[in-house]
Amino acid sequence: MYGWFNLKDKIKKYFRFNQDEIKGIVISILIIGFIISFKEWGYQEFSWSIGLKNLLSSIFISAAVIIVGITAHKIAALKAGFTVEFKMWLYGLIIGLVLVLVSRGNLWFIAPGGIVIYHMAAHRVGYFRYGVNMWALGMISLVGPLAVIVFGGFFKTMTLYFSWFPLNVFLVDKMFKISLIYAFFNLLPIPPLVGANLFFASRNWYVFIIGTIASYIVMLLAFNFYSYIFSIIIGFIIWLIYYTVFESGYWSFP
Amino acid sequence: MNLVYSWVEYAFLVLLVLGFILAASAGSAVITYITIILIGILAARSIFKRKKGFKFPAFVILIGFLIGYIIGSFYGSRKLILVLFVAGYIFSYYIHYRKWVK
Repeated sequence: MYGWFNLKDKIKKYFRFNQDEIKGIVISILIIGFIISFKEWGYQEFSWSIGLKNLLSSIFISAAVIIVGITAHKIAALKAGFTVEFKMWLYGLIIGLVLVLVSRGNLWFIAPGGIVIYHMAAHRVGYFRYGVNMWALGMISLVGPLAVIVFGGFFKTMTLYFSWFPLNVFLVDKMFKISLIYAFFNLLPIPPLVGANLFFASRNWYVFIIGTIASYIVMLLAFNFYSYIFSIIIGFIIWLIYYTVFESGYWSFP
Repeated sequence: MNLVYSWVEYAFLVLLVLGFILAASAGSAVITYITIILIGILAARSIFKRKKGFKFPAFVILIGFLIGYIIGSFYGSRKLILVLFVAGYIFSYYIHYRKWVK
C-alpha cells in the first residue's frame, strides 16, 4: 500500500529486538546449534577439537538461519503495519534436545518458537481489515520460512554456478539443508509455531506451501536433486488432491 | 471408554508407552539421566503454567510417563532416575516461581 521510503522509515523507527527476544534467540541458537552438531563430535572416536569446531560452525549456521527468519517476519510485519515479537518455545527446544539425545543425533526437531503481532494503529490506516487478523498473521508467518529457504538457496546457488567465489562448500551445504529443515519444522501446524498461524489463515495455502517444501526436501535428500519449479508443481498437485478429496466436499452444502 | 470424559486415562496410557519407548531407546545410562532431568524441567513448567484446578490431571499423566520411563530404563539405576526427575522438577519449578524464566 505504501512505498519503499515508508518501509525504510518504519524499519528505522520500529525494527527492534527487546530483551526477552534477544534472550530467546540466544537460547534457541545455542540449543539448535547443539542439536545440529550432535553427531559431529569425532569420526572414529570422540574428539573435543573436532566437536567444538563443528559446534561453533553449527551455532553460526543456526544463528544465521534464525536471525534471517525473524528479521523477515519483522520486515514483512512492518510493511503491513504491524510489529512482531519472537516468542521462544521452551517445550519445543527441550523436546528437540530429548529427541536428539535418545536417537543419538538421528532425529531432529528444530522448533525455536513462534511470533506474536501487534497492531500499529496509525500505520494501518486505510487498510481493509484494519485490526489484527488471521490472514495478516498467516501471511507474515509465511514470510519467515520462505526467506530462510531463499537465503539457503542463494548460497547454494553461489557455490554451484559461481564456484570462483570464496565460499566453504561444506558449510554452505550444511546451511542449505538446515534452512530447509528449519522451514519445514516451523511450518508444522503446532501452536505456537508459525505454521499454525498459516494453517488457521488458509488451509489451501498451507497444504500448497507444506507440499512444496516437503517435496523439495524429499527430492534433495532422496535423489540429491533440487528444483524450485518441480517442487512447486508437486506442491500444486498435492494441493489439488487435497482440494478435491477434502476441501471441496467440506464446503458443499445440501 | 469415552475419549472426552476419560481423556486423562487415555493420555496416561499413551504417555506410559511413550516413556517406555523413550527410555528403552536411550543407549546409555548417561543419556537416560540427562533425558530425565530435561523431562523433569519440562514437567515442572507444564504444571506451573496450569491453573490451580487443572493440575491434578497433569500430575496423573506425568506419573504415567514416569512409570513407563522407569520400566523402560535398562541402563542405569532406577532410583537415581527418580531422584534426578525430582531434582529437575524442583529446579525448574523454582526458576519459574522466581520468574527467572517466563
